[in-house]
Amino acid sequence: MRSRSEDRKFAQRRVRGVVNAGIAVALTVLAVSALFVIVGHIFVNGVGSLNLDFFTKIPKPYGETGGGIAQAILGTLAMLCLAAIIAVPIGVGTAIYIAEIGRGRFAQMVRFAIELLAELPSIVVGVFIWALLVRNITGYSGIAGACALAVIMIPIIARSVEEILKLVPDSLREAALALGTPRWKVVLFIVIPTVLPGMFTGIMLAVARAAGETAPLLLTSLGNAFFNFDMRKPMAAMPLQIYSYAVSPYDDWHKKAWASTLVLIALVAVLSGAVKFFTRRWKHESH
Amino acid sequence: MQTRVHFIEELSRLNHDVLAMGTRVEESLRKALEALRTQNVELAREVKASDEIINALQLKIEDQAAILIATQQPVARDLRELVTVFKVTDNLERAGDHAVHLAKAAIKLAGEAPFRETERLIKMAEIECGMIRGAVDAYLNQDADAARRVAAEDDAVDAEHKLMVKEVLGLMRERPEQIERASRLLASSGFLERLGDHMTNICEAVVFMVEGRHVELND
Amino acid sequence: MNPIRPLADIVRNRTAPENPSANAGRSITVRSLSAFYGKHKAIEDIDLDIHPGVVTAIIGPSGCGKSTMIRCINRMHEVIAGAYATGSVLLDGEDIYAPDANPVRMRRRIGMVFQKPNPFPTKTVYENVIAGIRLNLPKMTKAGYDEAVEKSLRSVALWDEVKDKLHSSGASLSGGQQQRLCIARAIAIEPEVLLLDEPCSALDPTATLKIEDLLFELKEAYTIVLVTHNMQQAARASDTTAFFLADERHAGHLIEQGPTQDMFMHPKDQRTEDYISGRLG
Repeated sequence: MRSRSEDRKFAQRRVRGVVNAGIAVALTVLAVSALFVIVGHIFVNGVGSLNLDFFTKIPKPYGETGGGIAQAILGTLAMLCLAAIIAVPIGVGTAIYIAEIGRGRFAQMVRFAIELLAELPSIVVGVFIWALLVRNITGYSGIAGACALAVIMIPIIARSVEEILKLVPDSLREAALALGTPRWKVVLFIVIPTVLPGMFTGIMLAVARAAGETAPLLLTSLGNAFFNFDMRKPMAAMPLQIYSYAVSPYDDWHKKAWASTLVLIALVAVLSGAVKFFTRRWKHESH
Repeated sequence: MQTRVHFIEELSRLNHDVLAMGTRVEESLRKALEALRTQNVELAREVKASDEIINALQLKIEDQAAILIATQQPVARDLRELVTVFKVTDNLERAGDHAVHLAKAAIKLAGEAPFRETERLIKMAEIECGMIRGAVDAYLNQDADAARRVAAEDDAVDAEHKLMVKEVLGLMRERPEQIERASRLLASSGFLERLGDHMTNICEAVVFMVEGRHVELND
Repeated sequence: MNPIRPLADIVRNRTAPENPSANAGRSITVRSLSAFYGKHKAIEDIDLDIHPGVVTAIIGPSGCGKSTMIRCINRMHEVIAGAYATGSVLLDGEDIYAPDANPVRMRRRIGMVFQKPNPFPTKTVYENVIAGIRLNLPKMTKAGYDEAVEKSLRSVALWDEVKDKLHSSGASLSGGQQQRLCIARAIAIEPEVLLLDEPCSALDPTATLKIEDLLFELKEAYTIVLVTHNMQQAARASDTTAFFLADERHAGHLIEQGPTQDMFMHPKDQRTEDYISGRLG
C-alpha cells in the first residue's frame, strides 16, 4: 500500500520524465529542421536555374545570361580524384602505422601531429601549399589544388581508419600470428579486409568534406572560367565558382550561385548514399 | 556422435578383467572338485598355484577402478558400477580362497578309500560353479533378475550343507577312527556354504548397481 | 551399457607412445624459463618436459602463469608490448629463443587454439581452414586445397556437419563447431605441436566432451599441450599433468609434474593435493 506522499513523489517523477522527453524531442526537431530549412532554402532558390546548359556549358562572360558550371564540376571531380590518390595511401598508411605497428613515443608523436593537422584552418593549408608549390614549382594549378585538398583529407582518413583498426579485436590478429603469419601479412590480408567497408566510409567522408573546401583552392587552383584539362594550369572548382557568383553584382549569377550550391550538396549526398549502399551490400555478402 | 569414448573403452577393459577373474575362480573350483572326485593330488596343487594369479587380478582391477573414479568423475550408473566392482572382486577373491581350501582337503583325503559323503560335497561344488558363472554374467550384463535367480540357488547349497553336517556327524559316530578325515569333510562343506554366500553378496551388489537400492538376498 | 563385446571390437588400434612414428610430434624441453610483462615477472625458472604422443595438461589457479607459460612455447608472449622471456625452450633440440631463431617460421611448426573461438569473420568455412596455408605456405592447386580442407575437417570430426556449408561464413557455426574449425585451421598447416589455451572455457559441456575426445585422437599425430582451469578436464583428457602456483612472494612456478593418474590418486606435494581436492587457502 502506498502512502499519499509516495504517490505524490511517483507522480512528480512521471511528470519530470515526460518534460525531459519533451525537451529532448523539441531540441531534436530544432536541429533537424535547421537542416531542412537550409536545404529547402537552397533548393527553392536554386532549382529554377537548373537546366541542361547548366551542366554542360561554361560560364558566359560578365553580364550575359545563360551558360553553366560544367568546367567547375569537372574541375572539382578531377581535383578530388587526384587528392584521393595522394591522400588515401598516406592517410591509411599513417593509420596502419599508429594502430598496428608503431610502439611507444614515436607513434604517439605521429598521432599528435595528425590531430594538429586536422585542426589547421583550411586557409592556412592553402597558404602552405601556395608557398611550397605555387610560388616556385607549379604556379596556380589543379595539381596544387589537389595537394591542398589532400592535406585536408589526410588527417580525416587517418583518424577514422585508426579508430576502425582499433575496433578489430586482437583475437583475430592472434589467430593469424599463431599460424606463423608475418605482421605485414596480418595487417594486409586479415585486418584490412575485415574493415574495408568502414575504411571506404572514412575515405568518402574525407572526400565529401574536401568537395566543399573553398579557402585553400583560392590560393592554389585559383579557378578558371574555361574548360581546362591540364592540371598544371589553374583549374575551376565548384566552391570557387559559387564564391565568384555569389560576390558578383549580377542577379543571374546570384541565381547560379544558389543552383551551384544545390548541385554541390547533391554531390555530397550522392557520395554518402553510395557509401551506405555499398557498405550494406558488402555486409550482406559476407554473411 | 558418442562422447567419452575413452572412458567407455576403459570400463570395457575393466569388465574384461572381471570376466577373466571370474573364469579363473570357476576353473579353480572345478579343478578342486575334480581333484576330490578323482583323488588327483596334482590337480589340487594347480589350484593352490593359480590362486596367486587370482589375487593379482583383484589388485589390478581395484587399482584400475580407483584410477577411473579419480580421473573420470563418474556419476549415476557409472559410479555404482565402479563401486560395485570392488565388492565383486573382493567376493571372487574369497571364493578363490575357498576353492583352495577344497583343494587342500582333496589332498588330505587322497590315498584312502573315499567317503560316500564326498558325493554330496561334489554336488554342492557343482551348483556353485554355476553360481560363479551366473553371478559374474549377471554383473557383466547388468541383469538384476539374473542376479536374483543366482542368489536363489544358494538355498539349495544351504540345504545340502545341512544334510552334509547331519550325515558326517553320523559318520563320525559310526566310525570314530575316521574322525580326523571326516572332519575335513565337515570343514569343506562349511567353506562351500560360505562360497555360496559370497556369490550371493555379488548378486546383491549387482542389484544395487542396476536398481540403486540395497537388498538382502541371503535368507 | 551394452553387454560385453570382444575387446578387439571396442579398443581402437593405437601406436604405442613409447615409439612415436615420424609425424607423431616433437618433444619440447623447457629450461629455466622466466617471462615478464615489463617489470612484472609472471613465471619464474620453469623446467618442464613435454613428450610427443601424449596430452600434457597445465593446471593451476587463476594468475599462476599457465597461459603465460603456453604462450612462451610459441613465442606469442612477446607479441604483447613490453613482454619478453628468458631461458630456453627446445623444440626437438632446437632452442626457439636462440638469437638467430625466427619466431614467425617457428610458429608454423607450433599451432595454437585460443580460449574464445576466433574464426576469421569475413572468410568462409573453407577459406578459414586453408587460411594458414594460403598466407604462409607455397601455393597449391584447387584440388590440393580441397583435399586439405576435407582432411583437416575430418580430423576434427567436423566434415559431416559442415560439408554442405563450406562456403558459408565461419561465424555461422555453433560455438563448439567454431572451436573445432579453429583446430582444423591450426592443423591444416601440419604443425608438429598443438597448444590449446583453455579451449573449452567458452563452450557448453557437450561441446567440451567432443573436443576432449578429439584430443584423444589427435595426440597420436601431434604433441599436445592443454592449459585448463578445469581440473576434471585435465583428469579426463590428459596423460601428464603439470601444476603451477603463484603467490605474493613468488612468480608462477612449477610445483609438480607427473602422470595424470598418479597426480590425481596420490600427488606428491600437499599444495597439489589441496588444489585438486578443492581445499584452497
